[in-house]
Amino acid sequence: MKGTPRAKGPRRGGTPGRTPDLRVAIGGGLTLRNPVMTASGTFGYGDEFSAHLDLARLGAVVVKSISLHPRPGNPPERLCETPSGMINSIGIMSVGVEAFLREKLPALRRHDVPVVASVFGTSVEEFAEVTRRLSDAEGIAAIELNIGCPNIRKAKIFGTDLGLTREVMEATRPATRLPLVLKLTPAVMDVRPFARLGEETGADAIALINSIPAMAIDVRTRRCRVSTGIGGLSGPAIRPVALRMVWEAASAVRIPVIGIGGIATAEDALEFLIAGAAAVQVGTINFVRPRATIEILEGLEAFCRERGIARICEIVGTVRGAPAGPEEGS
Amino acid sequence: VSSTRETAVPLHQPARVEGQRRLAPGTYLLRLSVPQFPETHPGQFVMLRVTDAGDPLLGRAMAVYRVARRRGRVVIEIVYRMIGRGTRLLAEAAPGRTLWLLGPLGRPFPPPPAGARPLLAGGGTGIASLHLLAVRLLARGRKAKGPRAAEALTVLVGARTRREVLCRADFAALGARVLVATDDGTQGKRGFVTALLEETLTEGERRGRPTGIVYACGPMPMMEAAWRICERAGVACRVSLEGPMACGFGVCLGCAVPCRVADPQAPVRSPRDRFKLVCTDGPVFDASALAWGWDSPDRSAAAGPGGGTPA
Repeated sequence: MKGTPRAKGPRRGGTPGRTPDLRVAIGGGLTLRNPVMTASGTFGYGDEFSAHLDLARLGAVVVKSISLHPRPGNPPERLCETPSGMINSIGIMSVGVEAFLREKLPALRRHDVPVVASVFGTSVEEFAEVTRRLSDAEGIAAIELNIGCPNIRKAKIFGTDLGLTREVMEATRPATRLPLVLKLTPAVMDVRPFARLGEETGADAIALINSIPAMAIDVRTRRCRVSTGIGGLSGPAIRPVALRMVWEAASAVRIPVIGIGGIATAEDALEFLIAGAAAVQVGTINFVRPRATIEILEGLEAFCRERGIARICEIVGTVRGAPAGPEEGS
Repeated sequence: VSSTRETAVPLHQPARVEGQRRLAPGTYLLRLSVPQFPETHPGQFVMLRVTDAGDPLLGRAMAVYRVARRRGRVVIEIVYRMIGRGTRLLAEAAPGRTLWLLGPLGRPFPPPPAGARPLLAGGGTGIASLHLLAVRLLARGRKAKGPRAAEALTVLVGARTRREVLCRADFAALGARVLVATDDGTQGKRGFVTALLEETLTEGERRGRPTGIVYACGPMPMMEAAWRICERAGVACRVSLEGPMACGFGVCLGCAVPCRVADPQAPVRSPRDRFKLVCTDGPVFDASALAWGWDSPDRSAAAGPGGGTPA
């Protein structure tokens, strides 16, 4: 485990009440002004939220996954609520890379915030091609590869297969000089081999988790509640599972890890940072509380201030009581 | 009715429960108040959230029934049916309790084309979505044609049984002509409100007072039937849909409904060629632009009013 347990309370060099340094490095030379990012698919193309918050205060905006061609997405029903969460089967409803560059990116660039473009492909070549086109454009800070969308029928989930994940990485890494984030799916026995593979093949950071493949049934009709039968579970319900996986990934690689999964409050975000995440992505809660990211950011700042933590990156990976040498799964 | 499609930026804020009144078994009128609320147009909705603790996680989309200024605050009324855990918790919310409110959301009903006589048809709690529209149409009519304008607006109210007929007196108080249909014939015409719609269209035609546009809101099968009747009669039809939505402002993409596509084989130029979002493209749609029947019969029959909306 990186980081050794330290004494509680204010650290050396930190004075309670002083404005903390919230900057975090997420790999590839990219430093964010704070660790609060948005999770792909929960923040539109960013501009949709400008009525509710100042986007420039965020660490970064990760946009809805971009495919090569426009994709209509899945038929209804696409969404159902579950205890403290929801299952979605949107199926990548994307305007396509050309319309993104022409219409969506200029609107988002008006806000002074790093833009992370999430890339989705139905083939290895498509991942590389979309990455290449986005990298040629001005105004994108990093690329995130969505290899774990659970909702595409007839398409492989690349992220559940080490060989396919390697193929995607080996095709996309040469296609861009931008920082490259590999986003992992939780639908595997052990995330660590996938995290290590990402590190080996040139990813600058690992992000996890994507939504968890899940199902809900309407007992009156005996029908699955989303049209594809299985969808992706997200929201506070998945947070403890996500936290465990983020800790596992962070203990397996040296590159930064970005924690995602059910984060709704500053305390939730702190859990991920302490478990080893360099930054966090806030997802489903954006639907419910449009200003959730800002509330979390303010909570992080207050926490650091109260505890005299001078730099938020100091708390990354400082978890105490976690198993010393995690057992590897299959 | 606003002649433009421009609507105000929605506000997310705590709202105080002023009171609740039972209108029918399982159906309530909720009164909320907030310090300020942007101008709300007929057809717009709000997202209402009972808990702050994360379960139930999502807000519920609710049509705005009435808005009024009272003692320096804005009072918003909502009619809802208790159909699941979220709405049950809502029904338990006592005066003074704080709920979270986001709105107003969605695109409003477009005003009727010049000279087109409107007709409103509501099934179950769907009638509540048409109340603000009736207010606006009658205000417009009075301004244009004087006090007899009320006769220009007919409102059809459908329910399963007499006890479940909603908001009849409110529409009558506005000066509208209200006709009722109940499935069991305990009040008004026996049968579905869509049968009453067909009859009313025919009667209007016969009396030389033809309906120009129908605004319908209710369970999916009711709205689909209304659209088919209007299509046959050559009358425009606008419907106000529900959909399972997490956000209400166009980002979760959960509330997509399929559009009528001339050539399904044609390449998709934009996702909006195939699907529209109930929250931001709607909730009001031209019924002829939709690919009806996306909800298979077994699903909609069991879901009843409220469709797949989180309950």
